[in-house]
Amino acid sequence: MSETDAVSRVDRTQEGAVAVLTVNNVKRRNAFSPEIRAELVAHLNDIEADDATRAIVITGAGGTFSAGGDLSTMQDMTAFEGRNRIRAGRQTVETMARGEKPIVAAVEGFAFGAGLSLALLADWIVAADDAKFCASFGKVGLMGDMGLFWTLPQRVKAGKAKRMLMLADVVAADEALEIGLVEAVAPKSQALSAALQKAQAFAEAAPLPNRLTREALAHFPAGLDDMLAYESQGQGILFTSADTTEGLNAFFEKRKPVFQGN
Amino acid sequence: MSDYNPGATLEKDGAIAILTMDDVKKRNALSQAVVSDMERHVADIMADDAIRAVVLTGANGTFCAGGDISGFDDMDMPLRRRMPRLQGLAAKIAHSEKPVVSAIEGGAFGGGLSVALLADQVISADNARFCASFAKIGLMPDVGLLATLTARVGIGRAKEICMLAEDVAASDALADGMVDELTAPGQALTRAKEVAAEFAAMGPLAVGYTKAMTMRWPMTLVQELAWEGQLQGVLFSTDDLQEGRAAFFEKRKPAFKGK
Amino acid sequence: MSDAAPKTLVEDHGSVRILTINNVKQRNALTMDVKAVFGPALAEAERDPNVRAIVITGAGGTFSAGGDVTLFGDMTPAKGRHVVYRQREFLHTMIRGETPIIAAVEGFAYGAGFGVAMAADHIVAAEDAKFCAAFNKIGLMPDGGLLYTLPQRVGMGRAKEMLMLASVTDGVEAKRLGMVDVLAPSGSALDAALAKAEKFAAAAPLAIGAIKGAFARWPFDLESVFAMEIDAQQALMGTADATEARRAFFAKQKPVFKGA
Repeated sequence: MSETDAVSRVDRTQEGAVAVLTVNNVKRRNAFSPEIRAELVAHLNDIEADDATRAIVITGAGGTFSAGGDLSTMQDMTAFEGRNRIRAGRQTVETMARGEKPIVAAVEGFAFGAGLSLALLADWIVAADDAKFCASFGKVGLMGDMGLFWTLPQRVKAGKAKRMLMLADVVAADEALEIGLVEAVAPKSQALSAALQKAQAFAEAAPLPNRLTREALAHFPAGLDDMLAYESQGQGILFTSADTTEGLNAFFEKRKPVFQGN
Repeated sequence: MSDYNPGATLEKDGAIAILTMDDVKKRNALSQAVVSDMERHVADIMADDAIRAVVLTGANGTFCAGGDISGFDDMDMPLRRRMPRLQGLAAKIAHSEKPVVSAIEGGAFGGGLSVALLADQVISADNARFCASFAKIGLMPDVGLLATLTARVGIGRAKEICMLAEDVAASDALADGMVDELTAPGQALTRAKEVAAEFAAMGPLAVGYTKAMTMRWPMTLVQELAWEGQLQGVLFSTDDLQEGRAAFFEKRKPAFKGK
Repeated sequence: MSDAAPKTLVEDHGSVRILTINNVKQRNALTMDVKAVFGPALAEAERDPNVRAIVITGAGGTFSAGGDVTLFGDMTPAKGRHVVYRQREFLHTMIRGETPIIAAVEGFAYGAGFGVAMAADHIVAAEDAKFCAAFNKIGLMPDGGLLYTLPQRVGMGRAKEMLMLASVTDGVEAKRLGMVDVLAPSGSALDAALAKAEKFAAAAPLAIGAIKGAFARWPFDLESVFAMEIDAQQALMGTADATEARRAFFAKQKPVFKGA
């Protein structure tokens, strides 16, 4: 990390039980640099340990999500240097995929290249109506990375997914909604508020079951017996939680439950 | 007509190879003649670095009628030899690391549908019909259809298509994701060549590695991260990446060389 | 005083068997006494070679409200795990059997009821049917096989929304998402399911069984599928039904299958 570059590149704010992470390097259109990766992972690790946070929103500053990897940092490399560069990015992927708190992405502007990969690591995605998505790796002779070959087919069927990955198609927000790339479209500049609303819903849900559900689904695609094991074992752990008691009481008393997370 | 030899032809048009199944009497079924020719041509295509994309199509206004059922009861190519041979051909096409676009006129039935869906993109005339006809003759779908169809249309629709073996109209095939684009009748090949040209303009290593990853779907996160790391690592070391960067900064189209 | 009506109604329409969950007072909740009858009824239908397709539905205009919440207050982790573990056998029968299962969903398919619907091979839903993985509302996680079946049918973002937020999805939305296969007007899901089931029942039973069995092994990639084909196709080729199917095809007649 450059000693002259002491500016934070991923800002964290808190909206009640929702932590908002904003990638902030507007001059470089929030290009995904090693500094941003490191800060993002550090924040995510803090959030994982923070009982007061129940859900996460990830977004980009300056009206764009992220333009992807920083091409200016990709001068000649050996294949091993290249592999190591990718391995460094794995931590971001694993932290986001294996964390136990739900993540909502709010996409304004561009989610290109690693920016697309980052958005797709979220559980739920809302796009501004003029947002654009592109696996732009192919345009420069690279392939998708940061987990994109795992996340994209979970959302988009193979025919369209292949066009996106092999031909670097640009997908606009309305098509993104239609093909399942995103879950919702909001008016321009309102993706963040829509994301916060959704994150709030996640924050109010019973957190313990969702931790276990998110953990199980990180193993997708798994066989029937594996998923049945996650279900029975997870349910066993949950059955005597205080939240289950609260949930049952609320159900019988016909009121909204208030979950404490234990 | 006396010069007519059923089989498959290969035409090379710049960076695009056009592989045409042609057995008019059998509606381009995967006969001994067609399969032998395809094996030869696929090997040729894979060895030819000048070829960057492949169009797969059928002559005589139809794509492929699938397993040669007139041959089922004779010993010329019995099932126990035909299946591994067809699967081997399918595997070569799938693992070729060259993008494949199928162009369908008329129809793709049984193994013909399986072959059509081995492609990365499927272009169809809007009056074509599709059928996973295997169950109609008491068999299960083969040549990879369960994998390719499920990835394209989802498991619910894939089960219905495979178990009921009903005709699927082109418009439904598009809506389901079985095919990617529809054209006017007679235009599928033209459009497929255009799409092949789009593929041919991409970095051959990048598009080849990307295809290789998609051919291993569905994969877990652990597998994905390991393979992505290795393949992208190689791509980071290529001249093509430097050409891609230069083209980006100079705001021009890149000229990828495949190294 | 016990309710004398059977907790599962069994009715045959030709080679289609209709199994109806019958616990209307509890909105067809999957209580112990329902499960005690429904499980064996399903297993029996699955074993019966004269049953070529199974329709599962609920009595009284609703599918199933899910697990029996009256039991949930008296659980230990081991007991709780065991209750869910016992679903395994039932889900295996549904998913790994050889007989195609068509779900006809009217009204509510909540919780494990949602799971039962999703475990079917083919799902017909009334437009106003309502699906909900209600588990989270009582502090539980989804079971009933939903962690396996739901992401197979809908994108992961939608699946997580349903599984983690217990959102309600109606029939129309379910069809749009591919969560169900057929949409029927309110009140006619069973008729539509029966019509579809007859088509499944008319197909070559061994081929259907092999196809269903192959799909049950998802996730599979291309190479795994090749291996399954080699195993199954040779066996199918040698069957009397395959010979009959070819004969009927060339003679342009309807085949008569024996399941052998």
